[in-house]
Amino acid sequence: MVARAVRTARVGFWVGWQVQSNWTDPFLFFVYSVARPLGGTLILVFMFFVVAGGRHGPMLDFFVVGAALWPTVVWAMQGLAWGLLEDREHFKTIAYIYTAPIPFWAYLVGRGLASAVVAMPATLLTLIAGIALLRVPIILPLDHIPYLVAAFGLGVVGLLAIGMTTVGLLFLISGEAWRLPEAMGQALYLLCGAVFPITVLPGWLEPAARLLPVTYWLEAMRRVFLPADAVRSFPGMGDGPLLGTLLLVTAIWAAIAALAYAAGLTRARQKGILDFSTGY
Amino acid sequence: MSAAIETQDLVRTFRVRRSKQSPSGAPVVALDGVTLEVQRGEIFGLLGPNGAGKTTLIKILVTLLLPTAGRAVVEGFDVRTQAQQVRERISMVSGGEHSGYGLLTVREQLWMFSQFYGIPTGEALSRIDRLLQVVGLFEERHRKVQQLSTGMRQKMNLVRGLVSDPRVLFFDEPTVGLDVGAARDIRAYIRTWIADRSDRTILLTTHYMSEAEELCDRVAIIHKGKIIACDSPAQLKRAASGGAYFVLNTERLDGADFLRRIPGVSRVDSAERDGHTELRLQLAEDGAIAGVVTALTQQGRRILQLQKVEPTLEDAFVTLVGQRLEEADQEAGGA
Amino acid sequence: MRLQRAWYAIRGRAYPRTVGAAREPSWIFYDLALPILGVFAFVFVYRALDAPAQFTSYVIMGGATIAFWMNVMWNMAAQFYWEKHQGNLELYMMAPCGLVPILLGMAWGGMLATTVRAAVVVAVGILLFKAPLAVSSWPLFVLIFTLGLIALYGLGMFFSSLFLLWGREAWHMVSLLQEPVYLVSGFYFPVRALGLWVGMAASIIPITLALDGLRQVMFPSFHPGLLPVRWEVLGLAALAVLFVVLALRMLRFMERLARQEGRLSFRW
Repeated sequence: MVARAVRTARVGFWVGWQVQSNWTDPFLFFVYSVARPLGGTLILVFMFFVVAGGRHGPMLDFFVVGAALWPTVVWAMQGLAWGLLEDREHFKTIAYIYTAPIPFWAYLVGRGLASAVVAMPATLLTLIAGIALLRVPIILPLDHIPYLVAAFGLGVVGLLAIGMTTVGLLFLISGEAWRLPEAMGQALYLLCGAVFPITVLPGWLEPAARLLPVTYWLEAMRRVFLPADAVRSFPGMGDGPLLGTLLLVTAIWAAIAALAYAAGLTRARQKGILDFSTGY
Repeated sequence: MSAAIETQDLVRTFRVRRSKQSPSGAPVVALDGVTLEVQRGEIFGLLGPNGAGKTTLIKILVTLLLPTAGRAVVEGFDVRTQAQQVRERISMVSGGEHSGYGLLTVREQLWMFSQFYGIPTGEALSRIDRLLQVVGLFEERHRKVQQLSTGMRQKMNLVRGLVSDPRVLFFDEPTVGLDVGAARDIRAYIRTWIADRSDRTILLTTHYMSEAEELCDRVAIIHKGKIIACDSPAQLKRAASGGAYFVLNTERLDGADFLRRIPGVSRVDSAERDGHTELRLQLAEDGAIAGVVTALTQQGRRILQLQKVEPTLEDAFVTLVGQRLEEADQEAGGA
Repeated sequence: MRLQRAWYAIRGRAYPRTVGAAREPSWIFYDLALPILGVFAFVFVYRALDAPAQFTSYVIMGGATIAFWMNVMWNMAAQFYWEKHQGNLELYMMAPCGLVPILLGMAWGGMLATTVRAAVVVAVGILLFKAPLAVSSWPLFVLIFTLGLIALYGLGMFFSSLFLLWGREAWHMVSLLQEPVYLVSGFYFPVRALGLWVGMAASIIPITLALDGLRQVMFPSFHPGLLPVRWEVLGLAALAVLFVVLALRMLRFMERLARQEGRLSFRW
């Protein structure tokens, strides 16, 4: 079962890579890996400078790392959802892939992972630009690497779980289904402390931020890359408890994703709309 | 000039990029000196395989495309220099068309298009309702376009083409992809429309021999950008009748090449039908059938049915082009 | 007669745009809730920086402007591209009204629908965040807004032919013109922060001058303007004329090229 899932995810990854990767087209690479991510980061940088009067400050470091990681967050989560939508409405292959003797969820996980990898250059370019142009003190001590690997892995699982939950909804949505992943991304951007510490959120929104694995993942990544005196979303939480909380919240989301996926799929099969097209 | 459509030595070439398919990058000649005259009140058909130049000709006539050389006139106006006047008098309906906006209802969609022709709303809506009733779509007038079946959608497109009450109506493969019933309805209305308006003209391109035969007063056969014949379907068939045509059913044959070598046999087309082979034979004269029967008997094949038939438009096409329409399509597709 | 036909065509093409809002209520979620979420996020960024309350107003105006920019990009600039793929463009080209009234109809319908959306974004922002809103001169405010709108939709009309001729997938072009435009036009901060010359260069996008002018009218003593307001008004008027003229010329060029080369109908 595990071997079959891995094999399927590998195929899904390959398909996703063929569909999403933009290395061979300089224009697309420029749009998605350079212009848009750097544009998004620079907006925050100028917002900072306008208020700070041009002086450097710890919030700038917070912005740069959050903005750099954001493409990975969005693409991993959305890539999985797009995998379903593209196969259903554009390539019209969902009926054949779903009826193949493979775990379909593993195929979608592969699609999401491919998207996450495609987003990596944008993340790296933004981090490099932050170090070179804005003097953001990004460091990666060797002893942080095990923590980085553990947190990064958990974060990706958490993102895929959110993506899979979205897929559970998309099984049942027509019409504007293409925009739902975008809406999820927008909601995450607001809630997970990507560009401001979650302590800034109003009291009624902050608990929602604490329920998302991405919030802990971004915090963990900042702790890996930035000095100890950097701005934090969870100033009172140590590195170990942060990782533990990330593990716990990710596990909860994995369970939610499994339930949402199964429920959405069952309902879509009951209604006979698994392979419907909404006029892409 | 009494002709509704007139073309003289019309040429249209397209530049192509150098590619594997076209290593020389030489221009493609889509129309090669087309001269035509379509009279008012006529349903005129353009018959030809894919890539023959039918759609290119229509696009020039409806002002979407300029000719490379030659002249085309519609209702007395030059398509090159008097496009505006031409547009005021024409309309086009294409097969498999998905124009419009899915969220509008049928009636709204048709009203929107009527506004582009400057028809006041009251008059437009009354015309739309009348036409929807005629094509049997009135009950669906408040349904969203995205909910229509292919056949309903094509009927709506037909109404769109008619709502501006054009002098010349261009149909580009109007029944392609439709089921038998919907195609029959559309053909029936095309006939009715022209019968009630002797000063109107229809130019229709089609792939279907039966459609051309059933609808058209005259048919031009177009092949590789040239008009190779132009006459009434009956005259075209007569022109092809330089010989005798037979349909012969026999026990299954593995190949029919041996029949082609028999003296007097001009052409043999074979098709498998219910475990038998149906041969359509074009012979130089009636007597040549004896040689065919003898050859089959010598092969030990029983003859199940033999019938002399009248030549069809397809036979005329074969005689003129040298191959069947399907074969020409395959050649064009494989090119 | 020709004017009447042009008016009918404008009205006809504007209709799907205006009726669409009632037919597909999902726009309330996607075109209102999503921009508002975006506004929230940037308001919290300024709060994290302890910025003065006027910055909240900047963000709310930026959020409302995004509604216009997205409408101009998706429903004007990319529209002919979609129309071509749907088969509408050919029918529009051979209609006797011509393409200009059809483009104007698209713009008019889009402007109406988007103004409502932008107004809701502003209202929600002001109510939720108690953002300061003090317009020093309403006539000037309306003049800048109107000129900005004409110039912006003129740009959209110009892009509609350009995108079609360029032949790249419109989706990617629209994507390219998101964050980079939000940055150089100062959607969320005074454009002056980018420096005078960058701001001047960015003024080719009408939103730059329109946003800066509106902010100057709203916060005369607080906002560091790019140019004096009267210069910005003149600039916007010039852009409005420029883009409308360019759009008409580009349209004629596109139509001629389409007929000469058959680009819009055939794939050789």
